[in-house]
Amino acid sequence: MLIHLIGLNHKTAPVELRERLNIPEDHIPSALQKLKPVAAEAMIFSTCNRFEILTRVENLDGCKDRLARMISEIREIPLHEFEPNLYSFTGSEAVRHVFRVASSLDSLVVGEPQILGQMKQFFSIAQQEQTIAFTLHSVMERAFMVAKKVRSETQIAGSHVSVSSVAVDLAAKIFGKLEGKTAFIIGAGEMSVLSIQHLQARGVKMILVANRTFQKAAELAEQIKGRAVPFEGLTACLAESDIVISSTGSQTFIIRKEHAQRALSIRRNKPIFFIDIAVPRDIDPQINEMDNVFLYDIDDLTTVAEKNRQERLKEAEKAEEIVSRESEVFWTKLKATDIGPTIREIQSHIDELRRHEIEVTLKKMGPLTDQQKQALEHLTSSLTNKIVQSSYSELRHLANQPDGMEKIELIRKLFRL
Amino acid sequence: MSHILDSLAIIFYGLSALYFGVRFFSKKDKTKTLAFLFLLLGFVTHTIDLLVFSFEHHRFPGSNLVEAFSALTCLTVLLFLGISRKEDMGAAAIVLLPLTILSIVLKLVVPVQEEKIEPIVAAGWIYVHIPLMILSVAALTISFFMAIMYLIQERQLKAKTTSTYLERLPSLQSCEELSYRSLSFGFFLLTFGILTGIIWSRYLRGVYWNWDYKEIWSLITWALYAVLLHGRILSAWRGRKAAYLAILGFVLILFTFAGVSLIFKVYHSF
Repeated sequence: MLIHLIGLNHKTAPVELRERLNIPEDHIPSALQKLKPVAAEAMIFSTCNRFEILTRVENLDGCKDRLARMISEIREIPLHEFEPNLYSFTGSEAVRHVFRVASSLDSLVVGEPQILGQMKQFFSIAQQEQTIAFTLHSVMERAFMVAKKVRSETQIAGSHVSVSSVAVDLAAKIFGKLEGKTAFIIGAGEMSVLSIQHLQARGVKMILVANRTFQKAAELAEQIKGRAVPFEGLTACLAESDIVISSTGSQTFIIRKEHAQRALSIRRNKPIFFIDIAVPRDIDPQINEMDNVFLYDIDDLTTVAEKNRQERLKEAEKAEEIVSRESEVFWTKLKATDIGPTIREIQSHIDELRRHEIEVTLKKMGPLTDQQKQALEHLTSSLTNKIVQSSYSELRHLANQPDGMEKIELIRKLFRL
Repeated sequence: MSHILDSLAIIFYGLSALYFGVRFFSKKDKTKTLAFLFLLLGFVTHTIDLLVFSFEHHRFPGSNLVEAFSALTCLTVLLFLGISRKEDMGAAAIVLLPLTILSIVLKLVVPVQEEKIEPIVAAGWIYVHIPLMILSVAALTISFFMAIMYLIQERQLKAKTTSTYLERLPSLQSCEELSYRSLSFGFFLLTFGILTGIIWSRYLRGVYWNWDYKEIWSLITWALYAVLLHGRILSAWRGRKAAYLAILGFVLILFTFAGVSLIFKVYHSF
């Protein structure tokens, strides 16, 4: 089975190059059409971290170069600019690579769930463009299945590894459901905005924004649909807030023990979760010792994220084993559906039967002249050839059906191959 | 009949505990359904067992410590099942189920004492007093479990480390709320339980209050829970402080429930 994969990813190519190669989704159909002359089947994956072309080809010789030239043509980038960054896999290695990508083992953040959805998207585009048939269809279907298996049998996506989602996880450990909670943002950093988006996705209802420059607070508040509050009314706002995210450029602590104490007594000791992502820190670390107050600074969050990442890498080893095992099994099955060998086997099988029957017949009929023998030979061989010839195109057609693998297997059983 | 049910309940609870254990240590969710299936089977068998006992002996299984222990764990499992519908209580199951199994084993091993039923005793109040007290202790046990889980979770959050095994606890807020709710429920039952005891005592002995050790300790426990509830409602006691008090309360109630009759001579059968 001549499967070939060529591409580059975040490990082999810098982001500038990946950006240039990236094909926007609505341009993928036309790119696929351009690949038709060089490949029997083709699929393109183009995300911000990878650009890959998976093909089934008639001839592997020079295949990498042909496809590389094709990429250069489609993206209008000189070949030499990206050729050193390319990797290519053939046969079982290509299958294993696709399985690894789908299982998120080849991702920048191992275990991130988006890649599977993206692959499904590119798969359906290729289906619409009819640039894939049986072979790549079964590779992809199996890749999705393996990804699902990896997800359910390992903890590869078990815990979050980004600082902002770790913060949200911690909030969930304190409050359970975050619906209807109030968050308070002091200062405006990129991280706070990111965390707020996570929090809003989890149902946080009210967001208060404070900044030394009120104008900035108002701008951010508008952007995230929150409410700007004056910087001076800090304590009153703290009393209203369940989650406080601070990221000001202040050189001294802006929230101290007495602020937290006052806030707690106003809110009748309902817990407050402080997230201090400022450097130098905004919140006095002592408040973590108070009952019903929880404080995490950027280092704490990073430590948790790093610990989770280590866990994931451990799980990734288990996942690699699953992928290797599955790709081997699948490859063996796929090879069996390769129509060429099957045809040849059928041919030799029938031919053997023919020879055997002739032998038996010759014995029964007694001595024949050479001419008669030739005639008999000619009759039987043209008969069997006709049978094989006519089934050849039909077999080829069958093999390209979505359930081709099963059908071919059935036929092989029929001929006891 | 009773022996068969006892053994079945032990097997079901045992299997459930096993699956909870596997889930706890392997951190995989696959065994959760099985754990709950066997827990439910165990609970149903346990309940039927206690009902059969009640009919056979014409009394509620609470005439001695062993019987009461079994009734207590059965009711605690019931409350546990209720809470588990919303919260991940797997960690608590690891402790609760072995105790439940122990209670049934004790019931199997210790021979049933046929009590001479005093006519007045049989006359009603005891049927209210004992179940109320046992249900109250069950509710307070749940409150205790929630307080313990609160403290573990709180400690982990403060220390900024998570133990590999105790990752899946209910959120602090859930622990807090459930501890508070089961505490209020338990306190309510305890109050009524003590009141019915007083009325029963009046019928049985002609006095409302005997200054029996059991009664004194019940009163102390009741007072502590009263203070805790008062503090929660009026002074917004929450978090660590409330959890420590709930644990202290539980230690007291455990002592009143089981310890007093083992140490002192009391006229309560246990």
